[in-house]
Amino acid sequence: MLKESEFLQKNLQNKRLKLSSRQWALIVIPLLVLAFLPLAMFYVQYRSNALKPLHYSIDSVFPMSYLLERENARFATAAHNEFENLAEQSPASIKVLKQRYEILVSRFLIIKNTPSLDALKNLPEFERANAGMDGFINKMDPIMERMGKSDANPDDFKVILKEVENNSAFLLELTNIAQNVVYRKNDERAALIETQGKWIFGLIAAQWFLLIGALLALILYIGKQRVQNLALLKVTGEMRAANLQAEQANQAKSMFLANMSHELRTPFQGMMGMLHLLSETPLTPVQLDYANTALTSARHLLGLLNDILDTSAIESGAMALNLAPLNLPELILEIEALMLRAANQKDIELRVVGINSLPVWIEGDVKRLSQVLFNLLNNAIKFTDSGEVLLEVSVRSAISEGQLPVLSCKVTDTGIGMDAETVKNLFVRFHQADNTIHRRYGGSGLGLEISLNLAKLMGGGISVDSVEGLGTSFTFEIPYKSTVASPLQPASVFQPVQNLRILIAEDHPINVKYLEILLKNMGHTTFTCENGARVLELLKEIQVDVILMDLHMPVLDGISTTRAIRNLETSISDIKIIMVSADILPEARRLAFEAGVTEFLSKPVQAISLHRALDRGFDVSLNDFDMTLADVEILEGKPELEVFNVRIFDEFRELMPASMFKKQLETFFGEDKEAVQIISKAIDSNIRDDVVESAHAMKGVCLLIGFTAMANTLAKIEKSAHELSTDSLNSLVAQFQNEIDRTKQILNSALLLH
Amino acid sequence: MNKFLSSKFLQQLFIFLVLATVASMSYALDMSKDQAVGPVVLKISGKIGTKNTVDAAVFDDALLDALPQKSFVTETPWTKGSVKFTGPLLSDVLKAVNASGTNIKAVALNDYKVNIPVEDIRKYGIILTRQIDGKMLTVRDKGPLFVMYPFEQFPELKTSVYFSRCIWQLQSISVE
Repeated sequence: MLKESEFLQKNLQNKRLKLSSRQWALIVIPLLVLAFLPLAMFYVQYRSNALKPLHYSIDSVFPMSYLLERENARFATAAHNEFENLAEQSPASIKVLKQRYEILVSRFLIIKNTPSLDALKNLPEFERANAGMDGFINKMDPIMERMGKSDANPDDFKVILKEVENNSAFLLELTNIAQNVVYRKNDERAALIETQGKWIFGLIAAQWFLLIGALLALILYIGKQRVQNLALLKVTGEMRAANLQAEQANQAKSMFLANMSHELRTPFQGMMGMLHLLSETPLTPVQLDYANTALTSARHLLGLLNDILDTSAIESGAMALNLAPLNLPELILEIEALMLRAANQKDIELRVVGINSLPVWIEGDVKRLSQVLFNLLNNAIKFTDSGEVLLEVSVRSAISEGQLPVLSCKVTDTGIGMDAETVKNLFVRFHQADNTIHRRYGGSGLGLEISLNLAKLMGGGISVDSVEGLGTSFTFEIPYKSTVASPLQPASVFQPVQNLRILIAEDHPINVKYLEILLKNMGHTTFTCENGARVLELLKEIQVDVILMDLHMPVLDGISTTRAIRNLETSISDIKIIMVSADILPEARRLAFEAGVTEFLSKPVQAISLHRALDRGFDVSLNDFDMTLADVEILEGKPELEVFNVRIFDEFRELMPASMFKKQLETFFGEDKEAVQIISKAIDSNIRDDVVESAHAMKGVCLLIGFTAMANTLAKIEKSAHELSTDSLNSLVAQFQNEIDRTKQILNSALLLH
Repeated sequence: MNKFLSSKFLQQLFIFLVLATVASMSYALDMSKDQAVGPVVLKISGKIGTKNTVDAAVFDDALLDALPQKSFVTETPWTKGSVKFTGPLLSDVLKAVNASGTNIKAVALNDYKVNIPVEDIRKYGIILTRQIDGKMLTVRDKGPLFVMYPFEQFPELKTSVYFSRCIWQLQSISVE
C-alpha cells in the first residue's frame, strides 16, 4: 500500500515537473526575446546615428565661431596695416585686404548656411551676431567694392576699423556661447550614455537572471530526469530479472516435460509389451478387443509422448538431423503405401504426382523427412471427409550459383479448410482450428509446430494456403543435395535369422520379460542380467552372438559397458551390440554410436524393429520406422481395429517375402470361402460340432493374420454353436461373410491383393 | 578604278587625321608652354615634371578650363541636400604637371593645410570644384577651388578623415 502511494506521488511530481518545464520554456523564450528587443533597438538607433555622418557634429560650432572671430581679427589687422601705410597703398595690398574680407564673409556664411550648426541658430547670441554680421557686410561690401578704384579714402578705413571692433564684441560672445553649447551637448550626451548604460546593464542583468533561472531549471529537470531514469532502469532491471526467471521457469518446465516423457516411456514399454503378449495368448474375442483397444490407446499415448519429446528436443536445441543418403522416390512410394489405407478407409482418393521428376538419391534425414510428410498427409486426410488428397512432389533447380536446388512437396486436400485467423495461428503451439475441431479430431496440437521446426532445421519451410470450406494446401520445401547410393542398403527381401544366442541386459523386470518372450518367439536363445557389470562377467562364462542392452542401467550403464566390451582384447570385442533406450534425443543416439554400439533402438521396442536390428549385419546408419507404424495405427483409430489389427497384420506380412505373403493371403481367402461353405453346410446339416471345429480352426488363422473382426465373429460362432438357432447362426455366418468382404475391400484398396 | 578608289580613300583618311589632330590639340594642355595670363587660381610646386614659372606650375581660369570638366552630385555636411559639383579632376591637374609624389599637401587661403594621399586621387575621381549647381564659386562660397570626393559613389568615404580632406578656398598644392 505504502509503495503504491509513493509511486503515485512520484508520478504526480513527474507530471508537475513536466508541466513546469514546458511552462518554463513558454515563459523564458518570450522573455529572452523581449530582453533582446530593446538592445536591438538601441543598436539600430546607434547605427542610424553613426550612418548620418554627412553632418558635422554640433561640436564644430566652437571651432567655427572661433575661426570666424579669428578671421575678423586678421581682417582688422590687415585693415589697420593698410590704414597706417595708406600712402604706400598698392593693388597687391588692396587685393590681400579684399581677400581677407572675402574669407571673413565666407566664414560667416559657413556658420549661417551649414545645416548641422542649426543648434546654434536659436540662441539670442547668434541672433545678435547674425544681425551684426549682416549689417557689417551691407556696410562693407560697397566700401570694399570701390577700394582701389579711386584714391584711398581714410574715412573708409575708419569705418572698417570701427566695424571690426564692433564685430569682435559680439563674435566673442558667439564663441563663448558656442563653447557653452558644446559643453552642454557633452553633458547631455554623457547623461544619455549613462541612461543607456543603465538600461543596457539592466537588460543584460535581466537576461543573466533569466539565463541562470533557465539553467537552474534545466539542472533541476535533468536531475529529476536522472532520478526518473534510474527508477526506470530499476524497473527495467526488475522486469528483465522477472523475464529471466520466467524463461528459466519455462526451461525448467520443458526439462520436466522432457524428463517426464522420458520416464513415462520405460513403464510404457512394459505396458505395451505386456499388452502385445497378452493379445497373442488365447483370449476370448471380447478380451482380445479390450487388449487391442488398450494397445491402440497406448500407442496413441506414445505418439503424443513422442510429439512432446520432439518439441522439447527442438526447444532445447538438442534436435539434430541424421543425414544419410536416401532413396527419395522409394521413400515417397513407401509413404504413399502407408497412407493409402487410411485414405481409402475414409473413402478419399490419395494421389501422388511427380515422382518421376525426383532425383533418386539425396542426402537427408529419412526419419524426419517422413515425419513431416506423414504429419502433413495425416492432417490432410484427417480434415477431409470427401474428395481427394494430392501430394505433388517436384524439384526446383537452384536460382543462382552457390544455392541448392529445392525439393517441394505440396499436399492439397479438399477438406474443411481454414479461415484467415486460423491460418495465422496454425503453427502456434497447441493451436487447432478451434476447440470443437480439437474434440472432433484429437491430436497433440504439436504436429504442425514440429513439422515446421523440422522443415526449418532442414533449411526449408512450410507455407499454407487455405480457403474455408474448399480445402487446404501445405507446401513443404527444403533445399537438398544430390548424392550417390549408400553402400549400406537394407536387404530388400526379409530374411529372418534364427537361433541366435542373445544376452539381455535390462534392469526392469517387465521389460526383461517382454524382450525374453519376444526373442524366444523369434526362435532365439536368451540370457538375462540386470546391469553392465554383469554383462562383462557373463561374457567370460558364456558365448553369445548378440548383446541387447538398455542404455540406463545401475552399476554400469550401456555406454560404459559398450566401451569396455569394445576395449576387450579378445574376439568378443566386435560382438554385435543392440542398445535400447527410452531416450530418443539424438544426443543419446550419438553417444551410443560413439561408444561403438551396432544398433540403436528406441523404446518401446517393437517386434519389427528388433527383427530388423538383429537381421541387419553391421548396418548402423539406417533409420528404422518404428515411429511411422505407430502413427499409422493412431491415425486409423478404433473402428478400423474392429476389422483388423494392423500391427499383427504387418508383422505377419514382414515374416515372409511379398510374393509368399500374397500367396498366403490368396490361400487364406480360398480357405475362407471353403470355411464359410463348410460352416454353412454344417449348420444346414445341423452338425454343430463341425461348426465349432471349423470356426475354431478358422479363428486361429484370422488371429494370426490380424483379422480381428472375422476372428471375433468366428469366436461367437464357435462359442454359441450349440445354443443358437439355425437362423441366428446363419445371420452370424452372413456377418462373417460381410466382414470377409470388408477386409478384402480394405486390402484391395491398399493394393495388397491382386 | 582600283587606283582611283584608293586615292580617294587616302585623301579622306588624311582629312580625318588632320581634323582629329586639331581637335585633340584643342583639348590638350601643355603646361611647359601655356602661361597663366589671368589671375593665378592655383599654384603647384614640389615633385612635378612640368612647370610654367621658375619654381612652379600656375593655373589661371583659362588653363583650368582647358582641362576636361567633370561633374557629380552628392550630399555634403556643408550643403543643403544634394548639389552638383563641377570642375577638373585632381588627377588630370596633377597629370598636366607630371606630378610624381605619393602625397600632396593642399593649402587654403586661410592657411588651412591638409594632406591628400595620391592613393585617394588614383582611387576616387576627386574634383577640384569650380562650380556648384552651375554657379562659379567665389571666395565667399568656398571658392575658387573646393576639393570634393564623390561621397555618393563611395559611401565608405563618409568619415571625418575624408571630410577633412575636402579643403575649400584651395590656393596651392605641394607634391611630396
